[in-house]
Amino acid sequence: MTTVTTPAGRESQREPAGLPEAPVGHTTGWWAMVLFICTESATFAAALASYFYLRFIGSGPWPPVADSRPSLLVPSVGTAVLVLGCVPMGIAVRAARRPGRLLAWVSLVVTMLTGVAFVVLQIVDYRGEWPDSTLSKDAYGSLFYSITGLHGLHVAVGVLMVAVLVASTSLRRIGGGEAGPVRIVAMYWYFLAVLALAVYGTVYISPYL
Amino acid sequence: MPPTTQPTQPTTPDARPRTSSLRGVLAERASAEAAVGEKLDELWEEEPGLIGFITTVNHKRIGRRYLVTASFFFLLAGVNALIMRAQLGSPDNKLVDPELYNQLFSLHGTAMIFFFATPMNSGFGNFVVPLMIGTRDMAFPRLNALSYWIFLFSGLFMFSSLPLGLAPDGGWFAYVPLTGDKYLPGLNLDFYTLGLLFLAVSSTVGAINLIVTIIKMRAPGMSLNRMPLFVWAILTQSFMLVFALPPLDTANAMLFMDRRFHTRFFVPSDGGDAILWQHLFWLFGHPDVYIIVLPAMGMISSVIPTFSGRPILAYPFVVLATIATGIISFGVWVHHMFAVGLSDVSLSFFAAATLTISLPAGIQMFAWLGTLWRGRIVLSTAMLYAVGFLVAFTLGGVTGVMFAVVPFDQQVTDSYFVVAHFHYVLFGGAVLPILAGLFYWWPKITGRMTNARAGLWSFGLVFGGFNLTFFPMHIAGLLGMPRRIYTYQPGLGWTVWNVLSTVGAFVLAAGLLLTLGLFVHSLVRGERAPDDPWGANTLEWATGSPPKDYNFPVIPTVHSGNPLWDGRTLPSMVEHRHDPGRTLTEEHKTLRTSELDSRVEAVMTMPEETALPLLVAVLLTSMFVALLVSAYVAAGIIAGFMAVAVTWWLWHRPEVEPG
Ligand code: HEM
Ligand SMILES: [Cu+2]
Repeated sequence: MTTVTTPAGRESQREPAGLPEAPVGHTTGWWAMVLFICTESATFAAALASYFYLRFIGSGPWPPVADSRPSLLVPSVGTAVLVLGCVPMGIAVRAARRPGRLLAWVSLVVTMLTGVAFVVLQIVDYRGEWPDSTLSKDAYGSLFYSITGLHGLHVAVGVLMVAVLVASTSLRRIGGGEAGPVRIVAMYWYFLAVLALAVYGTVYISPYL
Repeated sequence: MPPTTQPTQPTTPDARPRTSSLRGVLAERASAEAAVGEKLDELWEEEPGLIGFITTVNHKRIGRRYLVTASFFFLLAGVNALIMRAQLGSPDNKLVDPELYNQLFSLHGTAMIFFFATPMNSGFGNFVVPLMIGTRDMAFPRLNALSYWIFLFSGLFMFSSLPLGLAPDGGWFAYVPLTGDKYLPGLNLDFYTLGLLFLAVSSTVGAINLIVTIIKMRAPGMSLNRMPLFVWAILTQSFMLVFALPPLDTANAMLFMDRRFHTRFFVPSDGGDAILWQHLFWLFGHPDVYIIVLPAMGMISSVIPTFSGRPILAYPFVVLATIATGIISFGVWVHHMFAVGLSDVSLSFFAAATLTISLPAGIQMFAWLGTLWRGRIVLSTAMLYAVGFLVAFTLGGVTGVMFAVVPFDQQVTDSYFVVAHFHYVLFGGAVLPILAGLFYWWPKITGRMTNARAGLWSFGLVFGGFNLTFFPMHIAGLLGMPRRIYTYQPGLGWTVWNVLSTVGAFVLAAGLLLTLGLFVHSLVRGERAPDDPWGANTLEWATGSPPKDYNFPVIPTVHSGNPLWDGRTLPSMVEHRHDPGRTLTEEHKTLRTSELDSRVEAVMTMPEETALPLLVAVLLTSMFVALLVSAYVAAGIIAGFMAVAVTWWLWHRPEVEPG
């Protein structure tokens, strides 16, 4: 969300009236994303706090006797893939600042694929878990599906954002020095990875502790 | 060319320069308009007529709409209240049956809190903030239009439940298990959960927009320590919304799923827990009191200095108190749950935390009193309402501190004493300041003055009616009258207090109607307002009344916390009137400045008007209607369309495609 160049033909330049030569500082879009991430974090904080609240308010075993512990293989791979997806995203940000768009384009596509892989793996995981614990069997199942599902939905939205970046790069609207939107989406992508770790730790690992 | 006028006397912050401003157009603005007004007019003018109506992104039009729409919802919720008061006016009354009464108080409470008080503040924020900080629009004008449309549609969604006989009927805080599908089947509570989730989209987007506007768009020189207190209040309130809405949304989403998909979040027999709802709700609910009251206090901090003719006393302390209130309010929610049966430790902790929150409120109170003490007071209608607020809020605060004492709270919980308390806080602490703000900014918003004598009547009736309505409720409550009962038997000693209260409610209604009439009269017949009718200290009064589409012909350099009184900020508009970096006449543009000290960073291109926000809001509305009637597939498809619309929107950013 960077802006136009300094208007030419300034006559009077008193006090701090002058514009910097090139735009500096954080853009409004950058700040909006920061705040969006704040409110999203609060949402996940509320959801994860509810998880632990319901776990510790009851005195029985966790997961309850009717359910078994979540299997770890598929979600571990999924989470790892999503977290590693931050690497191509980081490369894309750096590449978009430089002339030439190929590297940015390729790394954005790779990033997008990591997100798609995560969502697919999540569906695979659900198919493995479903008969054992369902959404409506008990609070454990409700928490399991709604928290992971909420996160999966967020990743899907992230994939859509990256897809738009891919399209914009193809059409030469961004990249080649114009990195603002890539930076902003990257922030969200890193946030998704952090969330993935928090959700993984809560929903998959904590029942073993 | 030298500036056309310079205040002659050297101005110290303690002396308000009496310039020609109190009559016609400010000389400085006239000179700036003469230089660039015409060019800017062309650039900033919006489409006229119906097209303009649905496509506008101008913060002033949107702000006005917020104010009108929220007032309309106030009227509807007020009618609910009048029906309740009529029902309670005599014992064993049969005007409404218990089912309808349940719907009336639930919808009244929900609507007053969510669809009146909060958006009314957003309306002021929208209209006033960009003017106060010296910029030309909000940071995201199209998002601004979106939050308005969503607010409107979610309000209509919520209120449409009443004529259908399906209004929420589980109280405004909708405690489970009562509100689960077992005890309250039917769509009533689905209107509640979905309506609030729907509205939350608007509030979140609006809050983010206001925060970014405030931190990135202040006129050069308006460092944080010169920012008006109203802007501080809106900033704090918006941050609170960003963090307080998520727990409410989480709770509502869980309740919706419990009711529709049989999840088990709140079902104790299957590992859920009913108290979880209360924690999540009040984690939002207590901050919400300040989400409503802080901007109202900010309005008071605008009105009192102007009509005392001196800057606010102890500005830094008031700022700190505002922020402290915002932060502490997240740590006291359990005081709404003292009667639930939690552990003594947590009760003591939260009781102590609750007591601390009266400290920042006290600081603000003393700052206002001190300002009045040292000032030359002008008793305008706005000022009358501000003083009324001081009285009412003190009373509400006193009963509030009483609740922090756990045994007392357990004694009066769920009685009319509580109803009396929160109406003193909410009506006294929000509606009275909102009226003060309306009378104060009315000339700026509409370009017309209001009649001062009628204002006296308005204040007298509203303030008298307010006290007559709500004071007797304290006594009825102490005599044991529970809240949320649709009728009561004679001979309990409650009748007289209820009669007084009902009479008061009708006096109050008369006062509010008179106020409405007064405003309408002003619109039709009112005297034309000058730029700065009150001799105020903040930047919004340096624009026209009503302001031009571009607000400021020349973006000024701010030299102090009281820019209109410092004798340098206004002349800066004249100085810079040929500086393209301040007039920005080639395109639809405004300045972007640094977060802390407002140094110029860049020129921002602002978007043109568009119907996209309306389209997205309509799609969102249909999605919520689909969810309401259990058409989940349709809801999913609509969500897909929405994703396309939003992508299209982001694709056409003004920076990429100017003009
Ligand atoms: C316009 C004048 C008003 C009148 C005459 C009025 C009257 C009432 C009455 C009679 C009740 C029901 C008490 C009961 O049966 O328990 C009530 C409840 C309530 N009112 Fe008001 N009220 C007014 C304004 C407001 C305002 C401005 C707000 C908030 C901004 C507000 C918020 C509430 C809330 C939250 C409840 C509780 C609803 C519940 O129990 O779930 N009221 N009011
Ligand atoms: Cu509270």
